[in-house]
Amino acid sequence: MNQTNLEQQWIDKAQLGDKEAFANLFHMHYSFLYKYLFKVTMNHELSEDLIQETMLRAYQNIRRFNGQSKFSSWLITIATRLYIDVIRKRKSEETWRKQKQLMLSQQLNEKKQTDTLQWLAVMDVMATIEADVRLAILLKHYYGFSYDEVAAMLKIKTGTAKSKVHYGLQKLRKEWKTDGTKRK
Amino acid sequence: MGRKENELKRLTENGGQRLEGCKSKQLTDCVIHQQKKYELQSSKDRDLQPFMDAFTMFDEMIEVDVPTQSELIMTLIKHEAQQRKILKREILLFLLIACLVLITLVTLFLQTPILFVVLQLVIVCFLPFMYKLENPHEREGKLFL
Repeated sequence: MNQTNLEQQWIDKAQLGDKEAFANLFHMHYSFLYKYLFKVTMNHELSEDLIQETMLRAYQNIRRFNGQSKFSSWLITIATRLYIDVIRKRKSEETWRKQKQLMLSQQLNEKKQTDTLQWLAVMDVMATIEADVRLAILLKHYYGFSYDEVAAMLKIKTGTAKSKVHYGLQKLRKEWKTDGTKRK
Repeated sequence: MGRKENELKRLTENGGQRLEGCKSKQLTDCVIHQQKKYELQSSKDRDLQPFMDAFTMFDEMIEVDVPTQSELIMTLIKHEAQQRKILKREILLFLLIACLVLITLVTLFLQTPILFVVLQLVIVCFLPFMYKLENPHEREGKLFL
């Protein structure tokens, strides 16, 4: 039995209230979802909180999942909306930057110095853009979702999603060039 | 094959696209336009490349501590228990408020001093806030991880 069939079988069972099937399903997507949340939040604690909240929301609403999108996309949608709620509450991106610095010093020791420097510079530039714009760019260009899907995930209009990505990319290029000049 | 057709073929192979409805003479322009668009897109992609590489590196770097299925099931069971507890508390709170409203009405009918009525109404108004302060509907710590 291939993975898609197995996944569909677990979804069907989970929709009938089977906890084990849901656990299997979530276990399968855990790593992918965690990596997505970590990239978005740059914060280990927050990612853990959000993934847990995502799991509980998904469990509560599994009957509403109609299979029009992939299950992983559905999870990403829930996680993204939860993260948007968090940033609305916090209204500050300071934590993001601080956590990023902390994480970098802890986790990048093993990497080559040249890679690390490049990586640091890129993440610094990413840190300069707003969270919702970063989310839109990540979903569109890294995960390959369409503008309609990105808009649905972020609960905005397609045009707004396009302008967010466009604005974000412009800012990224500008910052990247400025950063490059500084590095030289 | 003519010169135009050859040029057309070369452009199409390099990422240009033939637009439907274009005639032979106009077709070259259509393809050239598409080719330029393609080149522009490629340059945009090149700009984005460091960012996408950084994210890929990030993905490789992150170590995920995936909880076991049994841990996840336990979390779901705990969550359900918590939800039931919350529901019970909410029913209790509803009954409490109903009682208070009833007392207020009785007090009104018995024509007791107005101050008592006001006091009771104040209590009724603040009760949900007091309940929320004491029992926030939030998770108590992490259930897994």
